[in-house]
Amino acid sequence: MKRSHDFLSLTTKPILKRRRPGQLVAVVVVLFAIVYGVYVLFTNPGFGWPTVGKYLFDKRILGGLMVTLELTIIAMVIGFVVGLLVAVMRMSDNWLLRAVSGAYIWFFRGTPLLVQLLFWGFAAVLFPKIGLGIPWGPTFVEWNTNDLIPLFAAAILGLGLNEGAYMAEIVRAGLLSVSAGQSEASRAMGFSHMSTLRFVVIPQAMKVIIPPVGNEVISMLKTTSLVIVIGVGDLLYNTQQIYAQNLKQIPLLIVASLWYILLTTILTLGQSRLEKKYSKGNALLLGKAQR
Amino acid sequence: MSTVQFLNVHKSFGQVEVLKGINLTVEEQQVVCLIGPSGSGKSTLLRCVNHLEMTTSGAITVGGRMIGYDVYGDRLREASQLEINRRRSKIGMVFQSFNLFGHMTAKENVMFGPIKLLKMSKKDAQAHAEELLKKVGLSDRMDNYPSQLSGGQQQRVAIARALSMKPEVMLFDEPTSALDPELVGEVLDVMNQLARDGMTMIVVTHEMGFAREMGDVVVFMDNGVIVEQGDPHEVLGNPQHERTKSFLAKVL
Repeated sequence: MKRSHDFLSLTTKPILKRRRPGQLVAVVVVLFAIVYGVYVLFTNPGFGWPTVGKYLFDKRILGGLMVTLELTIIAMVIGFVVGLLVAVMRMSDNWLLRAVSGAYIWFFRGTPLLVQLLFWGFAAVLFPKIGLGIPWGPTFVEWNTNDLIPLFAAAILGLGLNEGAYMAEIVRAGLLSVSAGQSEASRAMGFSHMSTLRFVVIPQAMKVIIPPVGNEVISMLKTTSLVIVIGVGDLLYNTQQIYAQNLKQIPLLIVASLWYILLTTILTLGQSRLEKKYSKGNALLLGKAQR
Repeated sequence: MSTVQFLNVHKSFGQVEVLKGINLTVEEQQVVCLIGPSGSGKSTLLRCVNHLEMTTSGAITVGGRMIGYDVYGDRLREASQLEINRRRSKIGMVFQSFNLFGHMTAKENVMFGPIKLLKMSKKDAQAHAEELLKKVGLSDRMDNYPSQLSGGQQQRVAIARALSMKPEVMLFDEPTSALDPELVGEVLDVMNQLARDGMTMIVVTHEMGFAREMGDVVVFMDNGVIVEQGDPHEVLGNPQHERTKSFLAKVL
């Protein structure tokens, strides 16, 4: 048997890393796959890169892109406001408010978004006229539903109200993450329930709320493409209109995908900025900033 | 400063009665220390003063006014939220777990109440906050967030925050129980100073040294009733009741 002093001469040099032949094989295989993928991408004429270039900045594509952006932003704003309201109702002392908010979440999460969108699109069938007045009593003003809820508004209602249900749960998790002592300290100073929420609880809940909300925005950007079922001219709808005429489906779908990816990338960057802004007083990040 | 009066205060949580008829008067500028085993109801009693807990019956007055209630015919009715908020703002409270607002710096914590509730200008609030933080010995940590402060420093900021509302009474709910032993002293020093300045204080505490030195009255509570009260040297040095004796034997 060797004694420890036999190893002594080996201790002067740095220790070598273990060999990992399996990893080497994996690297070769993956590299080969990448090279082949790129080769196909450029040699298969079906991808139609010249067509992609031609349509990338087409007026109809850019117009659709704007609609997609509008839908995303407005639906998210509605979703956030509704979500905040529903979340606060869900944490209320009042059983009716809790029940109503619970039912809202149950309903909008329980039916497919596609169905909800179609529903709003056909809302005119259900309520041909919308008016202001007293239920069962006189009506003061009245509009045709089809005039009042154009398809764009139907799309926004569908996306926004559905988003509200998911957002409510995200916001609620955020509000619950702020310790009860924070509200208690604020209430003890004489702040109202609303001021406590606004100045103390919500700002601190934001650091828990923002990462999943960022996810929701990115998800919403692509979910807006569902509005083609009610014929709203978003990015995908306009893309479809073009390839319905020229039959260059693949190049045009690539055009749409490029725009979706670009926007997602921008949103991801924005998200990490926002996270930084709302991490005020967070021990871990402060530590990093000081180093 | 104001007197605080507890009039036949009862409090139940469901079936459990935690306060069984408390009568106590805290005179102006007095320091009253509430001691007793955990579960004796002393923290609950303190939280009834600013209506963080609602009494089941009985009332508490601060400066002659009831905090959570109005007279309604021949009985009491809970006051409106607005009125409660207004009355609460005159009562400072310091918590065991500090509860500083985590997204605000020390200075912002102390400026928050005066700006939003007392409608003080930002400039005045800032000067006021700096003065208060200086008083608690934290001039050099004003721009730190709570997470960058030690427990003792956080509790001192919390005291400054409570003082920023210019309270008539200060409530302390075990202010040193969450602190490392070596940090207890700095918080007690600030409280001593406050007592000497003539603040009316009700202090729930396990610090018998503080109770003996700074307390005008020590109240020993057990099982929802006041067992014994009086001069600290008497109550702590020469307890009359068995229950007080056995409690003090364990903590002293």
